Amino acid sequence: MKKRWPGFVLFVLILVAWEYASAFNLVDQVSIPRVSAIASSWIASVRNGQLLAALAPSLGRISAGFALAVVVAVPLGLLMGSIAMIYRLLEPLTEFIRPIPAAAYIPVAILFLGIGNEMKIFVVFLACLFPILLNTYGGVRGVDPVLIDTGRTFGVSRFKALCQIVCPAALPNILTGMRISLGIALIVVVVAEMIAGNSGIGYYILDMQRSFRVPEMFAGIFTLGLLGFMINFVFLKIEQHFLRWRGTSVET
Amino acid sequence: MGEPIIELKNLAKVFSVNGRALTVFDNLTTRIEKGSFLSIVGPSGCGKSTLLKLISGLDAPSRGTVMFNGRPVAGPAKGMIYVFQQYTKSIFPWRTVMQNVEFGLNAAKKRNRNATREKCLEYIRLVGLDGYEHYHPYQLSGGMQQRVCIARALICEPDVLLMDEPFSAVDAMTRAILQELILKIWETIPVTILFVTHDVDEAVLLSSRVMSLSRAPATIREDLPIDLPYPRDQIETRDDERFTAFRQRLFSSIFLQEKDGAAAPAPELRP
Repeated sequence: MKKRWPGFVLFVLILVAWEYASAFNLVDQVSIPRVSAIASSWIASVRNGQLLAALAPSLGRISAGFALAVVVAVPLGLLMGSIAMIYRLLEPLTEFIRPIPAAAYIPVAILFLGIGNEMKIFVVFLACLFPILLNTYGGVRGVDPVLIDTGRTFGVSRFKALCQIVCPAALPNILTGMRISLGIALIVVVVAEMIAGNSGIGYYILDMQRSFRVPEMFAGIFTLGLLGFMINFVFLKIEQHFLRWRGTSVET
Repeated sequence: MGEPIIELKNLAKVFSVNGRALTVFDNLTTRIEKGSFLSIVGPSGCGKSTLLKLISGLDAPSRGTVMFNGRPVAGPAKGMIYVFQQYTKSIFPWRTVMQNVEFGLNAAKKRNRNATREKCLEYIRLVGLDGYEHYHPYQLSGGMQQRVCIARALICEPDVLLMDEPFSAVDAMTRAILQELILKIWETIPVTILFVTHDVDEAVLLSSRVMSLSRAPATIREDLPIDLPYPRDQIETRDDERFTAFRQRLFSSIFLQEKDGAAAPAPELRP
């Protein structure tokens, strides 16, 4: 924590500069309101429950899409990493789908799934799928051959080796993939909510902008920043917990 | 000669390097006595480790057969455990000492829940790691990690322990201590040990028989029974003039080859 003060000082300085730039009309006060105005509307929106009401559905969609992606991508990645045939079967397909931004699927997803939760969960799922899949696959491929041979000399079955050796050895990569995909999930859910539907933090920000409640709009944006920070922080803690055996501590 | 536990029959291994066939060894035939301690020495790159991999069944020969307990080896054989030179890569870093040893026990499928803990502790004590049961590998020194790997192998009660330069990555003093440990283990447990090393002194100190391989394509150049009395001792045995004689004979046979090899380097043989 001690070494972090320069970052915090800069952060505070920017906020102060913003406050005065807006107060003295150096920037358009209507489109860039004072920080203090944003802060008070943030507090008000938290108090009256509007912000939380907007946040809850977004969090639900992220969790559902992310969980589905983990359930599908981890086993698939393990299989692709350990069975060459499955890799050869799926590799061209993944390489083609992977570079397409998940947001590009939204119009298609709307056709099939409508504008409700299903569509948004599906899009989050797709966006989370590839980082987890590719990191899991990479992790499995990166398992040292000596470790594999150790399993073989002890005569353990392929399935047991997958569960007891390959999976834990690839865990650092799998967790990295999960953390990356959580960041992407946040982006994608906001985009999806802005394009279609009438709930969620993405919709809230757009709605506030359309009704010229600019401080509330900024309050929503700042909430996203805070949320992203918290998700990453919590996940790093989880990662640290599961990777204690590496003996290296991630900086807190 | 007693009952053979392993027999090599016309064993050959040929690698393909850049489209060129490279014979590591050809027509290797020998029998290994049950309960013996056989060391295999030879110039670097002569295929010592490759031979050990073939015997274990981790790798398949190009020609010939390995017989283990009278049956041909096809795939990793039950009853033989391979101990790797790179213990840092062979130990399970996410498991504690106890859990690493437990892996060996579970793999051997001699599961008796009550006995499990006791048995693990027994083997942890055997390798001198009592008190470290709940440590993770990153908290242990290199020598201690290799002890864990040895305990994990021994708890399976293998007939044969295959050790591939197991002490080459630790410092000299740790190596001396580990050599004493493996001697003590071999004398207390009925196990046959096949030991690959590039250290002639180590081979003579530990073994009941030393086999020296020539440069690739390797043949058995020397095959010496080491009739020094057991229990052996780091200081007394090394002081024995017969020890020096064995050492000299093996060392000169390898050293001369290494010198020839330096003049015309053989292709690197790392599979």
